[in-house]
Amino acid sequence: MRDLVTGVVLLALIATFWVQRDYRAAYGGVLPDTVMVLLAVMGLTLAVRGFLARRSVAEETEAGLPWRALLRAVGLLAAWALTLPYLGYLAGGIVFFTLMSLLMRTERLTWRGAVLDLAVACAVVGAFYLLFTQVLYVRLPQLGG
Amino acid sequence: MFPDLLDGLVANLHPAMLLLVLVGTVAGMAIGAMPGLSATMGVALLVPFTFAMDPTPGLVLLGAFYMGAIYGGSFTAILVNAPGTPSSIATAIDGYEMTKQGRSEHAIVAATVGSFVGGLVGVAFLIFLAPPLADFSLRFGPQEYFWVAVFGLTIIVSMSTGSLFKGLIGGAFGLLLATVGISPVGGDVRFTFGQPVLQGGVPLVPALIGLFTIPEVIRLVARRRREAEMADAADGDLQGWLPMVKDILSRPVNLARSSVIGTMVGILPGAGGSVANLVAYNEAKRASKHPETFGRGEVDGVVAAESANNGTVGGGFIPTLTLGVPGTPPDAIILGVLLLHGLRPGAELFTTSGDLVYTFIIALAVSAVMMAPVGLVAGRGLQRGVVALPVRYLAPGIALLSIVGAYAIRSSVIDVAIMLVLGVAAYFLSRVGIGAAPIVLGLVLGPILETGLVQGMLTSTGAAQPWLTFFTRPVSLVLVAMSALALLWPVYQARARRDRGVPAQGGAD
Repeated sequence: MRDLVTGVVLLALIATFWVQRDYRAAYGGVLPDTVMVLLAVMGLTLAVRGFLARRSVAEETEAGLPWRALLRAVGLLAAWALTLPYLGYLAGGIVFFTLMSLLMRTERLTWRGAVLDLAVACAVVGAFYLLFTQVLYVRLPQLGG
Repeated sequence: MFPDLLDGLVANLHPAMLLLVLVGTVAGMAIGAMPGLSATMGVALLVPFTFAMDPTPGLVLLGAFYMGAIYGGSFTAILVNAPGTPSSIATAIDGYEMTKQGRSEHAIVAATVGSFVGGLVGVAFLIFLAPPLADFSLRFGPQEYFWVAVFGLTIIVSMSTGSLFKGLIGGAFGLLLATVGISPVGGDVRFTFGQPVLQGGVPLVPALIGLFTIPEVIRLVARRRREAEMADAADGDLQGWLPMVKDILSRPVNLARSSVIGTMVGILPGAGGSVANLVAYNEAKRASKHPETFGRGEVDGVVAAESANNGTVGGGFIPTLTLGVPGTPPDAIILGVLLLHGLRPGAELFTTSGDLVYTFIIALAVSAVMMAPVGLVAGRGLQRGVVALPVRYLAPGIALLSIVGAYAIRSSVIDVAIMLVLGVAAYFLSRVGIGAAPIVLGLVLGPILETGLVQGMLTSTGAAQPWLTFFTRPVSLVLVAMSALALLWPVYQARARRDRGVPAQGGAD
């Protein structure tokens, strides 16, 4: 089933690339077109194989994570990246570092534990922020954009 | 040459110079260990600090920094599956597997010894074989670069630990990603989805961080625990670092072969450590008596990748110093510093400024030597820190570093988004058996492949059949033969194993 879905997604992705073809330079489309055709053939093969063997489980695939846990992980990372232009590296880092460490606690959450996680977040994010902005002169996103 | 070489050696034994090399090496290791901060970026950041210095100490500092940065990339590749630099892509494949098996200390020692040997071999080639090797590299035209990239793509056969078919899909997907943006020849704007920010293409470093690191962060956050024990368990008889060093040194063929591969790839302009570590990894697997262990925590994989990427440092300086053609991107920056000081690369540089050139070259060797003790202390310290760190701080710590690494290259939030999208895609692709390594391989080799292909066709328009020029040049023919051998060797190995009654390795379908 996974192979079938992957094959179909791959074909859809190639379609989005294919409709954008607009080459003007000589030989500009040789490599992209070749790769797209090859990938389409392989995607189709994968989909057909997946369809024919949709009831068997592929041996080489890893065990999946629970969907709820997966959504929590991806959601946290996506929220961190999306709010980066607004919260900046320092504030956003402290907020999401703390949130992530709190959500990853396996034991019952206590006030003391929450304060500890916040303190660790402040120390780690602050140290990285100072290192990158003051020592390495790397500009980082600021609070408020 | 020898009086200048001796002068260079004496100059490097001065305490001030030794301190400078030490500072450069340690700083380079620290930068290299941070995902996103490549050796190129670090060397570029350091250049303004060398303006106030004399040419010799300035160049020595840059060279030592470069050597340390290439090595430093291995730390995070091994410990958290986040290659600090593109030169450590192959290190992560087996290094992180070793970490998951509780053998991270062994992997760190392997990376250290490999880097030390690779660094010294590269410098030895630079000292003794620079002029003839530089002349040979001039025989490489577009057609040869095309075949170098094709040869590189055959590595997918080695990297596909599961299904070869799915490895090929990953490689083709990487090549497709590499076509996004302005084409390397001709300037066509392709597949940008209307986003001007994609005109520069899919940035390699954010892609690298996303493909390797983000899936690990997702797994850590979702599981709330490490995938395996990770805390170092007893590694057979290898208790303490000395037996581990002896174990690595008992692999002289792999060390020598990978170091020479790294040096040779470094000589080719534009290739560099990102290609060398993959080629050496592939060759180590092909030559191994137990190739099935590669990708599952094989120490020879780490040794090969790290010997090769540090070999490129010396190798890359061969065309840089003799022809003025930088072998790797950091070489281009150091070439600029040479020119700033009025030093013109070429055979004359070795005679008119022999003392400076040989002091610089010997400093690279001193830096490689210093990496061993410094790396063993720093690397093992870092390893113990990561192992001891509670997972609820490790995961957000890696995410924090990944974000800054992706952002820092172009100061672009879009790059962070690209990293995240590719990372989530890589997680789901890994679920169906498509690993990150073949995708990265396609992404790295795509531009080299296309540039060679299009330039080769354009420069042969006078020929009756332009494409035939890809098969008629002597060096091209050698590369074609190597590519064919690379593809057929696993088939031969599989047949030989079958004849011996050994089970075949995973799914060559």
